[in-house]
Amino acid sequence: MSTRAAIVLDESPKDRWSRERLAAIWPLVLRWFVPVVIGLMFLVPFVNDSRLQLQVLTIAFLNGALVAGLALSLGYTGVLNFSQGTFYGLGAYTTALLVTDYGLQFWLATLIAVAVTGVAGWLFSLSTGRVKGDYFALVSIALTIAFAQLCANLPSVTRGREGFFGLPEMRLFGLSFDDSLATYYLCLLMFAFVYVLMARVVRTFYGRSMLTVRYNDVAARSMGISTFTTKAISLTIGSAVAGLAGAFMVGSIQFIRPEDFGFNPSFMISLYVIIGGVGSLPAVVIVALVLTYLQEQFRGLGDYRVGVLGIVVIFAVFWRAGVLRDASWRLRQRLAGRRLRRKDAPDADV
Amino acid sequence: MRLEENHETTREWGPGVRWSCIRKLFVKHTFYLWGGIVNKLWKRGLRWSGLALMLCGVVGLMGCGGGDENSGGTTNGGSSGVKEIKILVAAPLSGDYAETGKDMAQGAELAAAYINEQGGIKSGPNKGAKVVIERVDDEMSTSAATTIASRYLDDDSYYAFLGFITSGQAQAAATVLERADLSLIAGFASADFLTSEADNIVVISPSIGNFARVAANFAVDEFGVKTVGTIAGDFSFLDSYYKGLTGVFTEKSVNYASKQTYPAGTSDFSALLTNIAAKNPDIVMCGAFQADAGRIAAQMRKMDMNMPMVDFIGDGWGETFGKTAGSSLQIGEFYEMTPADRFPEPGSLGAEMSKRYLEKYGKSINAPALHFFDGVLTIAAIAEMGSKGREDLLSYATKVTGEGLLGPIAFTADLKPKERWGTMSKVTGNGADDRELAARYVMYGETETVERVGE
Repeated sequence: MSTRAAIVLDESPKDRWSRERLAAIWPLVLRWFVPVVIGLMFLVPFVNDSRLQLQVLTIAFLNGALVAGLALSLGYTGVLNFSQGTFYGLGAYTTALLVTDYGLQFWLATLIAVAVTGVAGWLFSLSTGRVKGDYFALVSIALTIAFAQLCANLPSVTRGREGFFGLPEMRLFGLSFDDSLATYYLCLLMFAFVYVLMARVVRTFYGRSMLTVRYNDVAARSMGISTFTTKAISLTIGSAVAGLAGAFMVGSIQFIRPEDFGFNPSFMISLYVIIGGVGSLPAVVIVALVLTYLQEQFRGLGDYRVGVLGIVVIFAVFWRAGVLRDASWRLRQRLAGRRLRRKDAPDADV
Repeated sequence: MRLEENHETTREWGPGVRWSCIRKLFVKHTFYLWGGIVNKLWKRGLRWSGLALMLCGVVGLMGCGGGDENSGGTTNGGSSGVKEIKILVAAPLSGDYAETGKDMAQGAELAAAYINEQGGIKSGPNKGAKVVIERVDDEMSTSAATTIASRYLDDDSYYAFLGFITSGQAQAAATVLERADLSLIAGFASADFLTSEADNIVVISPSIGNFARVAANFAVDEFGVKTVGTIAGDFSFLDSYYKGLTGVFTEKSVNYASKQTYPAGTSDFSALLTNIAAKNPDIVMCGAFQADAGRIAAQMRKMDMNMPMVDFIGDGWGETFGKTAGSSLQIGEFYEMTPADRFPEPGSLGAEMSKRYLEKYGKSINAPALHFFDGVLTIAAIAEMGSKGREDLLSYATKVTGEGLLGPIAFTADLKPKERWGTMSKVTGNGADDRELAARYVMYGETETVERVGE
């Protein structure tokens, strides 16, 4: 008998009732948790005017939007995509170039950046149409490395390794990115928009097709779902969202450099989705927000920060995989057995 | 006597720390109480109430997460209640450049200990204040630089902010600080755009193009080179070095035949060196941190490339260079560039600090440590000039004078150092001190030129 079956058979009626109630309520909680958190985030500046917290949350919103886009391809469609950082960078560089060298307004530059990254994502999906599994992972890693190198070695366009500097003041909806509070609300609005959009997308026919392709692409094809089109749509939308986040990154940080879009940052974004889990948009977004926030809170730990974060990640993976649940069940069983044995044992004094 | 025995550079147990502990205990028990209420509500079937309370708690915690309340850049810390000047030092303490980051922080701590040994800040409104260093890991990331800058803005117990290995981070942090009219002391970052794009950065290092100019001038003067090849790490600041090298080579009609760069993590340089060897250069110039430079030296000699190798990055070739280069240092000539006086007079500040650094940290003082040492000296000099707090640091920066390890502490109107020293030394063995003076230079901040001095 499997461990899980043993758990189900041994549990008391009260425990079973709790488990069933939790199983019923959990999807609802997960569905509404992020919108509630987003709503509460609008109130944070009223209870806390710490610029550090606002800056950390601003970066968390950018990461949240990035992973929401990546959740479509890596989470829902199951494409091992490690190139989200590339499209993030492409959006950032496009926006920076347009506002600086061509004097475009930020909103217009952002729209163009979204279009450019969307088209780039579509081209990427076309060129990798026949590449699957591990090979897709390799291609996406190669793209990420190549893009960072291109940005570093094309100083006439990208300002080279030292990064893109000299950005003008950028405004959106009358709010200036020079003001940290305005930047916070702009990034929060962008994140809310992306989240709502992605939540809608995953409930459409294409969203459900993505999950079908992930679990069994042969079955998906037999049902008339085009795996190629589904993957292309997930990559195109995900890239366009990354471009949008990149544009807001330019506004909020006002400095970009090739290293920010290299393999390591790109892999971190993919890691958030992997920890968050398959086909769960709220979970991946929560992971991105919480880990970005924790990274800053652990900064005071210095050298130990990386280790502590590693332990947090291990626990998160164990929790998602049910390892902690099984371990706690075994521990409870063992303790219950010990209590039972102690109760049944003859009293030594008698 | 060792410095740390006498002078405090880190916070000790005292009233401030005690209150901090009490506050933490209070928060911890509030957390338990709150968790208990949520748990009880959950068990009684009031799940939505429990969830709402939990979310309120999350927002409340964020509300409590702000900086400490304090006053104007100086604090009364320590058990004796002595005034402190707290400096936030940002360096990469984790990742590929952690060793360099630790050198930076150690340089700052050595300077703090030295100042405190002299009785702290000697004049001005903060007279008698001790210097305290607080390290923070910047992960060598731009976004981390902005959050650290925000931390500095939040907590006005910090008197000054010294930091960063890359100019991109310094620029990003300066953008955040500019919103609050505060300034940054850029310890090691010194790309040319820093002072042109931001007017709230005091740059400790000379223009890094000048490091390259020193090395290039030395190569031309010493060897009369006609053809040069370079190999360098793909660092964010490399373009400024290339600009310096190209300027000198163009002016002196030297053929810059091969320019090879490698990404971080490279250990086999043979393909790049083969490309350089194909151009048959008179010398190879190396822009690599010491571990990579040592490997490049070893692989060059293994490939029978026995021409002189000249460092142009100025990070300092210490013990690690000697170990990784191994016996290859016995073949041909190697020259190191140091952005300081490598051979200070006995009894001078440079000689004394080199000795203390070696005693305290078990290694020779190198460029990152030298820069952060001078960064702290500059902040102390600004405080002694009469600066009341972090808001008016910049107005005093151009007025300071003093002696540092990199050269005189004095800045131009653009907040660049007026003069810095550069030394080219010949490597005579594997030890960090096995060096022989080859040439001395002065690097000028205002004109971005270099000049050979002495014999």
